[in-house]
Amino acid sequence: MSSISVQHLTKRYGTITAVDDVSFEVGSGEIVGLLGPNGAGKSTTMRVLSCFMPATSGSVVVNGFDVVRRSLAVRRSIGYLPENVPLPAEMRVIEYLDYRAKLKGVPRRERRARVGEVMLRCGVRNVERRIIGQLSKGYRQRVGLADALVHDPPILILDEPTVGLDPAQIREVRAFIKELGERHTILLSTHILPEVDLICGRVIIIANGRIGAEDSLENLRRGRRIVLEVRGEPRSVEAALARVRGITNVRFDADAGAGFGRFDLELRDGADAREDVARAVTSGGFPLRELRLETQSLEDVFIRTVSAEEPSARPVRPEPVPPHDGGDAVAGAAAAARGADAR
Amino acid sequence: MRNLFHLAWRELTSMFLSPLAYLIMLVFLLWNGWWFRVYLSVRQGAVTETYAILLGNSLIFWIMAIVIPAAITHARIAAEKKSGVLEMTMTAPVSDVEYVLAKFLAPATFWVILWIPTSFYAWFLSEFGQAPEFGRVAAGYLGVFLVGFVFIGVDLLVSAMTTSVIVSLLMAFFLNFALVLVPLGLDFVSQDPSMRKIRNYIDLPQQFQTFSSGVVDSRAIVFYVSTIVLALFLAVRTVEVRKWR
Repeated sequence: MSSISVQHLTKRYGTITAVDDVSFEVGSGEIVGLLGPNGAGKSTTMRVLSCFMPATSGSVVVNGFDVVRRSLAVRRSIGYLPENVPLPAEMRVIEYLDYRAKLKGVPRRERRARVGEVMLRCGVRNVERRIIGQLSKGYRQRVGLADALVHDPPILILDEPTVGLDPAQIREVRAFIKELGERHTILLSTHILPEVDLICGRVIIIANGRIGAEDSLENLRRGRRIVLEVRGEPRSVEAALARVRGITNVRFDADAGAGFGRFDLELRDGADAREDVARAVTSGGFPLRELRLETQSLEDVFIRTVSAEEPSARPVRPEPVPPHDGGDAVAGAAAAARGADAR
Repeated sequence: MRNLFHLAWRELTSMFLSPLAYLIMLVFLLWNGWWFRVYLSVRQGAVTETYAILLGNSLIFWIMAIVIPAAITHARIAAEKKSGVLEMTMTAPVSDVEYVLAKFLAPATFWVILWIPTSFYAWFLSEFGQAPEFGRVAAGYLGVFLVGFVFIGVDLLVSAMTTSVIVSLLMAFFLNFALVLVPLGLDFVSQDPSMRKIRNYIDLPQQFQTFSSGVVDSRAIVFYVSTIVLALFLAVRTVEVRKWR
């Protein structure tokens, strides 16, 4: 069963569409990163998931409960860390966590132990008597995390959990989130690419309110190009390579000197045609100097997805919004998203 | 409603964490004690009369009833909306009704706590002087509490409508004044009997007269309670507005 299921979620603020027909699933036990530039709709999506505001349209089911109809049940099963971690400045850490545990229905007998445990795990034990308003940003972030964890929810929704922390703290929080992933389903948002790399098993790239790409990190980064240096007449090399399975496009890139030419082979998603290419080249009698699979970094994927989703690159569509039109520049990415939906 | 108590308790305790609460209490007791003493000597020891002045029959009371509820209520929701604490609270399993009721109960309890020390006057006078008519004094207190709750309810509605603490403070003052002055002003506008009838319904100070003369009038209670309920209902709706924008 998936822990979070979002179907055709759209959220408009007046005339501004913050989230536009977004669908995704988060399976139980997964750590999924919601990646996107600032203002992409990450926080809005998370606010809908955490029942702070309802969607304009679409359905969201968290832990088996609909966020509108069973809002209180959803809120009991999530731990939510909002961006900037707003905490009441006048309370002491231990008082605040105790109060939150009460609100979240932690039974009286377990409360002390729970609060003590999360303070220990989040490293705020040493500041438990301090007033929250006097804590540093890093400690406030940890108190927020402790708050999210205090009722031991199956699902954690963390909105930019490392923003505003110093490098050492970022490292610490990341390691902690990773550790939490062993027991909780986690959806976290960020615009920091390495963070996703370090923590998440799967990524949803969101830009301008829409999903640009969604896949496991491994798949997103999988090689998409083979670079080849071969001696021979470009046209006949191209002809020989065009027949290889898994290759969608062959392009003569440049003359590499000494009669060699550099070729650029585009690969179908998930395909690795290195063996077949080598065979085709040698059986065609072309001397081979280099054969290399170029993997793309997450940054490449991100930049490509985000720039493809720029409003100018997107055709203006009439309402109502049809689910997934694949006709624009993100056809490949949209196909990936569709594939993930079908799963 | 399981969480109502926790929310209201945290609200009330956080009020006592700010120096404002103690400042208000101090000024309130000095102000009341001073005027009580002055009026007691002016009225030549008419204890019950003096109590009636303290409990609503004077400008002294109305100034406090306008200023204090606004001061203790205006920031309750507005500040949390601005700081984002509202988001924290509303993503915990707390209903909007619980939230608003807690925000009402805390200042309402504070208002009652504020008045408790003045009841020692009655005890003190009956020990060392002349005892007041306890029934009349009790009715007066009931009226004082209810009027305070009306102002607190209205100020809470104002607080739910804005994210600016200053705006909500000014609006709360303004509305509290208006609640007292508009019915008086209506007299200048028109002397028409039907107008007079309406004015008598909405006249907060006049409704109050019955309490300070020792009569617990159900009409006045219905008026006060329904005003409070209306204000709280609208406050809940206003808190919900974030969902429909």
